[in-house]
Amino acid sequence: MARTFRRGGVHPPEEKQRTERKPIETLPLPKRVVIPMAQCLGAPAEPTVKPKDAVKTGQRIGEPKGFVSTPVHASVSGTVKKVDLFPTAVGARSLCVEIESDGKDEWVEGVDLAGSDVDFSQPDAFLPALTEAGLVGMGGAAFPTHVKLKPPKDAQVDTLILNGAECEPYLTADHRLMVEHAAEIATGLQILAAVLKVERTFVGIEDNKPDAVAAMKKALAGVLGVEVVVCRTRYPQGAEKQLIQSITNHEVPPGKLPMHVGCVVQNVGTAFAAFEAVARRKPLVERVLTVSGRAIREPKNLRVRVGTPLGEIVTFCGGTTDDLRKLIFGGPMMGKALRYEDVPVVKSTSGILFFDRQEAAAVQEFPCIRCGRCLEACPQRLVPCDLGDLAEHGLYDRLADAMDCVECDSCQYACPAHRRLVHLLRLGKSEFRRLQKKG
Amino acid sequence: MLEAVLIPAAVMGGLGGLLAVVLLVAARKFAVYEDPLIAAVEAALPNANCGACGFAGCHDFASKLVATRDEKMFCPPGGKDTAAKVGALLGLQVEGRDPPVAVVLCRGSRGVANYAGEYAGLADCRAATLVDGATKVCPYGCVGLGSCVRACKYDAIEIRDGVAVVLPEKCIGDGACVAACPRGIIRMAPRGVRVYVACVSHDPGAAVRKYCKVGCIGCKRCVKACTFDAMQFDRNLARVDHDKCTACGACVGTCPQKVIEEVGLTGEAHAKAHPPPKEKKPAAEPTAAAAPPAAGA
Amino acid sequence: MAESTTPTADAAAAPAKAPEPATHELLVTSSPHFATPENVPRIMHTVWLALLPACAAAVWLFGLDALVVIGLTVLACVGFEALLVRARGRSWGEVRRTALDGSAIVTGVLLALNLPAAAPWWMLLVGAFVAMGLGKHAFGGLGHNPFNPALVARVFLLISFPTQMLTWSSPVDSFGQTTAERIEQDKAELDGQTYATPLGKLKDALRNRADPAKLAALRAEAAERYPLLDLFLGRTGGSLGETSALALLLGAALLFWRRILTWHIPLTFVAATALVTGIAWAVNPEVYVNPLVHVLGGGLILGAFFMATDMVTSPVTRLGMVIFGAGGGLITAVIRLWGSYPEGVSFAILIMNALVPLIDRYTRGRKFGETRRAAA
Repeated sequence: MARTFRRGGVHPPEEKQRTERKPIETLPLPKRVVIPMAQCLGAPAEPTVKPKDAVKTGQRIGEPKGFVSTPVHASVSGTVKKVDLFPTAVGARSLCVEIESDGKDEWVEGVDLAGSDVDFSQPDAFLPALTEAGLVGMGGAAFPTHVKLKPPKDAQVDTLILNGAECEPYLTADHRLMVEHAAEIATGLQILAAVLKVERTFVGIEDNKPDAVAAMKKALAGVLGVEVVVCRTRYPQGAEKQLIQSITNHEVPPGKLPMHVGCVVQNVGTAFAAFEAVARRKPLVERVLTVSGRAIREPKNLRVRVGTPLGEIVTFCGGTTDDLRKLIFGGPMMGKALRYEDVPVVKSTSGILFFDRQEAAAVQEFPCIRCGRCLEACPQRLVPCDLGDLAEHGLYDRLADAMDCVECDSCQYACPAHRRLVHLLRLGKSEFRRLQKKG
Repeated sequence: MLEAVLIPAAVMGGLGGLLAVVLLVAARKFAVYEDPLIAAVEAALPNANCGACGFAGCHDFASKLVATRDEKMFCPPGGKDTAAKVGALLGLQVEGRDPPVAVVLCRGSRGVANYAGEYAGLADCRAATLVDGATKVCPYGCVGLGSCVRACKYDAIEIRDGVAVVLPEKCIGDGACVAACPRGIIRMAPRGVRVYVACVSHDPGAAVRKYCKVGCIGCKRCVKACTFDAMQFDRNLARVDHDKCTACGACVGTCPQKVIEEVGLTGEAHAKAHPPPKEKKPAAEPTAAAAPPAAGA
Repeated sequence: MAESTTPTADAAAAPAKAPEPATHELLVTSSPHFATPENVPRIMHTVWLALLPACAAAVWLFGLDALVVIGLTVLACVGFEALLVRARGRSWGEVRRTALDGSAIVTGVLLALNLPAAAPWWMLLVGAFVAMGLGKHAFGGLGHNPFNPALVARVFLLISFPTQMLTWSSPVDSFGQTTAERIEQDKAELDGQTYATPLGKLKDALRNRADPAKLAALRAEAAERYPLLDLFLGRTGGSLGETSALALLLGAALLFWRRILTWHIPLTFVAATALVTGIAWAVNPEVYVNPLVHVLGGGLILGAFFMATDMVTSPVTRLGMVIFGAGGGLITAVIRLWGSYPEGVSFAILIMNALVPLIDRYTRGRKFGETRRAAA
């Protein structure tokens, strides 16, 4: 019986048929990469290289600043061309290191690309390796993994959940990763569990991916304390708090974190990266993502190096059609629409969608007809229509409830009036925070 | 018959008198004493209750001023006049300044700035910047969706051709627009004769030229032209230091992008600011600016 | 113009790469970049389409006059909506969009179904204007009105023109007689009285404390003239829409299938009315009628399934809807049993409409993860 969170959620068309059966292809080495220093939630890294420096693949080029920050590494070998502001998906001007590739892809010392052994007798060595590798949450949030794996002592974490839900339409990267690299993910899972010192682990996968379920079950067959849980295909099954409810029945209280109900959630991609960091001493310099949408000629699941400019990916995927109307980093529900076509891929880019005019069609907005579908859809049990009204009228000080919004966008999806609820909620939250800061 | 008139008159009159007495007693008994000075000071204020002074309205400002006698407290819209009146009332030397005026440091309107992409979302500058939706290519410039217009209670700012423009005669200097602008391109400047660099882009010149005809390209001609050390330069952008600037007009004329705005310059300063167009002789330099055309490599 | 200059040596490092202007005009919006195909016009158009069986039944039962009443009311509603939107200073494009979004048509049909077949044309216009003007646009248009516009108009007409509003025609089995002719005929049959609905006649008799024998006779007459089946099918007197429960339920089935209707309001409304009238009937069957007469007669089915369920004027929370429906049913029963009007549904719904913001506020429920209902 597929488990699911109790209230809320929507079921948008899945649109995964374009890529769910396509094996992961590796993008040829890019000619140049533009690597942003801000690749995680928290403080951006500080560059440690300057123009004309020679770098090797996997070499540190950015020092973390503070605890909630991660190091950044070169994703190709070559020469540093510039350390300057570039347009990125984060913002129009972000500090990046531009490296011109020498085509050789020479890795730094100590990296064993074929390694697969993990010494579980020395679990204390894992966390430093993960931290050094610059691991961040690969599901899209980009939260520094080493921070998540070090909850405060009083948190009492006893459960690790691996998030293989991939509830966003169009995206199939995690799906293919589980089908093709189940063994590595399984090892990565055990590494993460060892760091957290938990004995209970779950892998949550939506029921629209039966092959991934089978692959993970097989890879985890001999491992104790792990259960693969099949969850109902419903958006946002992959949202942390909802997945925790589906699997453990616990509800994370408003304003609190999963660790307060004893859970830590990690994306399957992060588990894979954890395996590579420990078994291969490989820093996080590449990731798998889905390229899809009707305006790209050859949708694919791609393994790309961090910092790869979009142009190289577009060329490899057959180019865009003339009808390209919207460019989205991420999925169609929570992804970000971009104005420029030449931005680089970062650690948290899970998908790149090229929407044509039809897919991107703007819809006519109507006034709220008080139908109540938004509150039926909200998995956090908020009342989005009312919160949207408050934001619309500038009553930002009354938006304390909006801070529990996870911006899953289910409400706007469900709204027949197509009100811009998410935009209003975002504005409201931002203004509320500003007011709070003013004191 | 007479009773029909007298009795109601007596009753109503008596009732009225009784209530009057009650009100009188209450007014005396529950009266809140307030220093009459506060009322006097408040009367001298502009009474716009704009909050630019940092206090909760004119009454609050007056009360706090009478209580603390702090000479540093200042009412921006009231300017010098109010400062003088209030100072006289309290026997203080209140610092008098002209109310400042808001200036928008961007003139990238639709005709001169490049735009890319289309934005379909909330028509608010703060909302648009949250989703990187501002369609101007220049990431520093005016978004043009009117958050400042909505913040101003005095209709002193409007959007023309996609860029915000202040109407100085209506502006009282309370700074509401400054707080509303998500890109921080509105600043307060001293009223009256002044010059300022109408650009906030820190991009290098080559980049700026690609997206705006009136953006600062960091050529530093104005810095060199200024003999009062009033032109600061930071990360490809020139900026006027109003404490040192004498509004002589020298910098205005040297700017190849015509980014430096001048307000109220007359006579010689005006002539300096608006030199006649150069003839097409490569070596000739008709204006007073001494900088040679090509700066160091 | 002077030659362009390059930045001096002490400027920052060599120029950053300027963003390439997009080769396509890319659209930027906030997420989500996906929308449900459902929209407001689709919902509205489905609602009035669901009312077509009831309209057809009305025409079948009451003749061409019914068609005129429905058609004219709908046209008037749409027309007044367009005029009022324009009067509010909106562009012609918005006028067109609003007038054609289907909500005016729905109000028009619902209002028409609440009127007698003999309603004069000027009364229809007044009703349409009150519905659109007072009931909707005075509050700011679609989504902002607290009261159901069709009911606002109906009650306005009831109070302003009671005679015309309470002149019911008897049904005919085919087109032919005009309403006026039919009324004359009925008057002749009943000594010049207005032909009342079964409930009305019983009501009058009860109020006038007719003796038990007369009551029994009336009840027998009602039972004979208005067997429940007739009430269900609609072969009885009444307004255009309150007669054929069958036609109404057919339309409601469509709305349930499309998920525009849920059980929360209609079921609780009908159940509450049936419960209260049922209790009264059980306690004193001599005085009170079978609850099924109440359910099938009068505008209960029309009200419970189509008027109380108006999204704009009903609560947004599921629990709130249940309270709303129950309250409406209860008040309807009370008015029918002990109030002066034979028909209580309109007033009941309007009263509950007034309580909707309060109901919404207190039925919000707990947030995800909250253990206790936080103080409002």
